Amino acid sequence: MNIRSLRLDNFRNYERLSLNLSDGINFFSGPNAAGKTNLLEAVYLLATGRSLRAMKHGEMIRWGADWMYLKAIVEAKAGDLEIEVAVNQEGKSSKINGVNSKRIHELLGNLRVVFFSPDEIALVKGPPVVRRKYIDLQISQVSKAYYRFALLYYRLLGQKNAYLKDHNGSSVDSKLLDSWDEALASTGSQLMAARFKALQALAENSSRYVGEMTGDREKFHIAYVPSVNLNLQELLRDGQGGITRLQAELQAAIKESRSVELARRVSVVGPHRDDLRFELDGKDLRAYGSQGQQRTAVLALKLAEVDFISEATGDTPVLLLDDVFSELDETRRGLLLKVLSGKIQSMITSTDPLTNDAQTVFRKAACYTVGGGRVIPAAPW
Amino acid sequence: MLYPDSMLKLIERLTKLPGIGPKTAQRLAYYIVTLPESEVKNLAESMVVARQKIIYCSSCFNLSETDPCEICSNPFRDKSTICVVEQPRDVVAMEKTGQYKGLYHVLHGAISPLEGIGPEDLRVKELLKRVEAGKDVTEVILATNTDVEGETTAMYVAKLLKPLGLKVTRIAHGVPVGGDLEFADQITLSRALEGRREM
Repeated sequence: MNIRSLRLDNFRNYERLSLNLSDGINFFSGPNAAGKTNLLEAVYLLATGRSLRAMKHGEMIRWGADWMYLKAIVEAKAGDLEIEVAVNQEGKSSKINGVNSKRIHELLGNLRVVFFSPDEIALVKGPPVVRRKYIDLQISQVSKAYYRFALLYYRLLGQKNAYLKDHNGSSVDSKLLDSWDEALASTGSQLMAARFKALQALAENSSRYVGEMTGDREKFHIAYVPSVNLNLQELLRDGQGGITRLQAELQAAIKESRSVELARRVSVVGPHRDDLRFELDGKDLRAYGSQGQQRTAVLALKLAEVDFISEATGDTPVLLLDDVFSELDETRRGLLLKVLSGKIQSMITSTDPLTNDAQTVFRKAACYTVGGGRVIPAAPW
Repeated sequence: MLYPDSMLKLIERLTKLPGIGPKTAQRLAYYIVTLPESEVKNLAESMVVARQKIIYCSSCFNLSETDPCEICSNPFRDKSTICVVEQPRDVVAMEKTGQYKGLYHVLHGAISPLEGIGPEDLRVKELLKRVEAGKDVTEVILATNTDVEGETTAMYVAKLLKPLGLKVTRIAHGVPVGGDLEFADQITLSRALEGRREM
């Protein structure tokens, strides 16, 4: 899919901006704090309903204004899209093809993006919650059902945790906890099965990319690590029957954790406590990998996301690269450039001039200079 | 001063009603003060009378002017079936179908610890007592909402009732009548599949 045009009103440092984008590479250069990343953030918000940096949507409104508005016209295989987001003092609203969506998060899965910045190293180095959010977002981009199951699961979990917080061992109603556990196991097993399947695809593709970057010297793998010891590979060996087996095992595991739950007053078993582990030659990349190896893994993962979304939906995502070229060495840069020269739309920001190898690939790129709240088409170099 | 004192007070009172924000309250207040005084008196009186006369039925906890309520005291209603709902308005919805001839039990909410509502805040204990006392009850239909809270409540009540040895059923949910399968989401469809019946 391709973003044909973007409009930003009162967004960050942009008072009013209309921008037509090219189908291939769109290269934005300019000094620090010129507003390059803001362009990517606008696209990310239109795609996911979430902000890249702000805790509250209101923080994205231009200083001095009290509302903001974003619009993207998107060309997609499944049909063209017009996506709008508005935020004012009364709250936020969003529209897809002119139809109001109930919540801004329902934008997910329409315009699909892969976002990559140096900060994404947090996927390897950060706490488990970063990786859970990551995998949830990836699958939600290609499956609305997954997103709805996740909403259900976290609502159930919120109810159960609120109950655990207010009750101690003696006043607890075990039949009520059983009721939540049954529902949590039923939705939770759906989430785990979908995550496991998605990770298999992501692991396969990313290990191929790591192989390309290291000349097949290092073997990369992504493991799904459930909060309880379950052999997902074995449990999920066949489709629907597998999920039923997993549900039973998960329910038993939650039940077994009851005394711990009551002592800690919080639910401790289930997909909300699962983690992903990145492994290089069988070793945990987080603990044993070098900075360079971790960066290689993240780049491979991002490229695997492109494949994952393309295979699941039959349409390419839009690739958003925020200042990533400066920190990649020649081999990694070469691989990224190879992907960029294929049939995919990308928006790339950079403070540095392009290196020679990039200039060749960027020959046909649409280039822009960013500064002072304006984006001006520029001659390449 | 934007409004005269009495007007301001009226707007404040109206704002406290559910679903009425400041703008609607203002519109209603402007309307009320232009009505003939007799109309306003009738309105006020009907509110007071309704409040005074409406009580909860001590058996099913539906709103009623009599105790037991009209449904509970109707000799032609089927005493062997109890339909459990969250709110009095759900009884109205069920009655409108004209299909159901049994009795009701209104829980007055659903279990939601996030909003501070536990089983003890609902009429759950009363339901158990009623079922234990009434030997003719053979089936309890759980017709709570299909959201997370309604489902949890249904599951919980079912767990309490099952040991009493009666039939506990949940209303079917799934594809809406007249609905296209392709527009039903996956959760709805999988529920519909779970609740399929033989033809």
